[in-house]
Amino acid sequence: MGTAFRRGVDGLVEQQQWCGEGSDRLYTMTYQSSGRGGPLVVIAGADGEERDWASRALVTGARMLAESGCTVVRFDYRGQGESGGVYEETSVASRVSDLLSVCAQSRTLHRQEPIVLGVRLGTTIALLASQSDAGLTDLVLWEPIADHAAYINVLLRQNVAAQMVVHGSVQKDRAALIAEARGGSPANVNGFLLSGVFIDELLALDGVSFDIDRRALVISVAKVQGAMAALPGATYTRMPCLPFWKEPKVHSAGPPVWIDPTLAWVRQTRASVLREVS
Amino acid sequence: VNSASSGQFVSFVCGGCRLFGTLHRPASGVPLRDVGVLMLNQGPLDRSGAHRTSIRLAARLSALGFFVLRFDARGVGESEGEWVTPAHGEPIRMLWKIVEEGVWVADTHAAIDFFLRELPVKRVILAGLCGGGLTALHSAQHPKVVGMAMVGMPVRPQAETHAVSDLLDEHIRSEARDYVGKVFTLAAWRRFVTFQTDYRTMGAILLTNFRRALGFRVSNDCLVSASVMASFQQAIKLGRRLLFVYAEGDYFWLEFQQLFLAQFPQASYGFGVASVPHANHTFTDRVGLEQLERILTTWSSGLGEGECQA
Repeated sequence: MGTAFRRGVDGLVEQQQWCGEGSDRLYTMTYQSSGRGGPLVVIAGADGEERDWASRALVTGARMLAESGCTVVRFDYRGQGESGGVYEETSVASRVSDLLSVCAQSRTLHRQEPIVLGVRLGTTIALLASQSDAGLTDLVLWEPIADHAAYINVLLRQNVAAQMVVHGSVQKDRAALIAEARGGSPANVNGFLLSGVFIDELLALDGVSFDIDRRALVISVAKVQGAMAALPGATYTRMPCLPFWKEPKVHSAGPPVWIDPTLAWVRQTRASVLREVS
Repeated sequence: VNSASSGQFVSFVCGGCRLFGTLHRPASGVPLRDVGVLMLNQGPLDRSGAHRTSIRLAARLSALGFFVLRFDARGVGESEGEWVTPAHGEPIRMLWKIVEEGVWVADTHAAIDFFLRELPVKRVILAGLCGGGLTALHSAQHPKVVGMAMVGMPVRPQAETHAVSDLLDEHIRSEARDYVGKVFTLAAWRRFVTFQTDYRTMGAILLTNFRRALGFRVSNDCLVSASVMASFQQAIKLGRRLLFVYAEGDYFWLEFQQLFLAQFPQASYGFGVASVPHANHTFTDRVGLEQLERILTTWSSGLGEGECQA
């Protein structure tokens, strides 16, 4: 068993920190090459069970970006991972607030504006955050959610499947689950309790167009649809990638392949910062 | 549940890799116990556990006076270490196989040593779900381990049980009965014609059931995996206290009863067994999860009655 692992990159500094205070404080991890202070990237990760499955890929991705000269900050939204709070009490608004808090802290600590790398629901959160923070001018969006109603539908399907396993039959369909959530009994999606507020906030997003003037790199497996396909300042790239945000069927070694185009875009976008560092 | 934010960052080294963890200190005003609880990764998920089960349990245990350490083993969560094998793109069950065979024993022992070195604990309980249960069982030889709580632990090698035809007769019969019973159900036909049915699984279940009814069957000779048997027998020999907990909706519960208990009767070996009705493998339902937490806190409290000096 002694040869099952190889060591990673030497010279990376990885630092755990809290953002904020009290029982709702946020857990952050910063990755940095020692002695370097390149472009700052804040990762707005996936949500719920997708967050759990994606966490390792984003850790290895953060390390690769840091190895290439970036300063990278990962964090957990309230009620998820190592952060404080309770999942069922969170909302789209609380996630946006969490991202803004982490960006503000990172901006202070590293003295530059962050690029936000959004993943899955994190892409929506990144776009919403950039609407209220003028400093967030550059976004990288991995596998954005074009249809939030469909996203909710897929989540609730897991509840229905769980009913089949435990009870042998479907006792509440998706419409009933949403109605119950609105009535105060959150919908359980593999242990993550979705409140009615959260569901309604997500459903309301499908009518919104993100007509913000931000530079963005959008990377996805399939063609992006809906409002996400019409971001004025976006460059769209399609590239096959293992769906690291889902329960894996095959082993995924190393960071997602999307790191390479991301790094190239970051270098191009923040060339001046890189010149200062070198 | 909020106690995630009261955790303390820790790190230690195993095999040249830095491992990250979160330490939960006992709640103030509660007598400190001299037994610590170490919570193990269930597989590729980080130390918070599936839907934060590990954080919830750590909160309950620290409220009872336990020091609790959750940490990420090599190759998982935030810890260092990249898997040498399996190769990128290989079936994930090849990674399960390595975990099942005890790849994280060294990490667990490093965590125990960290625990004993840094905190006023004298003995350690290991707890883990699924692959974490296997890691706990394989790590029992550390002299400071007093007991292991293994939740939803597979007893057969998962690399050998990936096809429907590998499943036990009782499960196949039960599933086939369910499908047949739905023949006169309108909702089932609606799902069938609207492509919501898992046709591949349904076909495999019915075909396997038919073949077995005709007498064609794959031998279940492999039964309990050799590494599980060896570690279990060693743990018993060393006098460790063992608790197995399963969700009754978990297929692993059926395998545990039919394969493990048939070979290692509870009365002969003296280990504990508990099951949680209406729960699935990862205890996603809150009622089942709370029952699991009660089982584990009660059992741990029984093992950790000694107090320690702060």
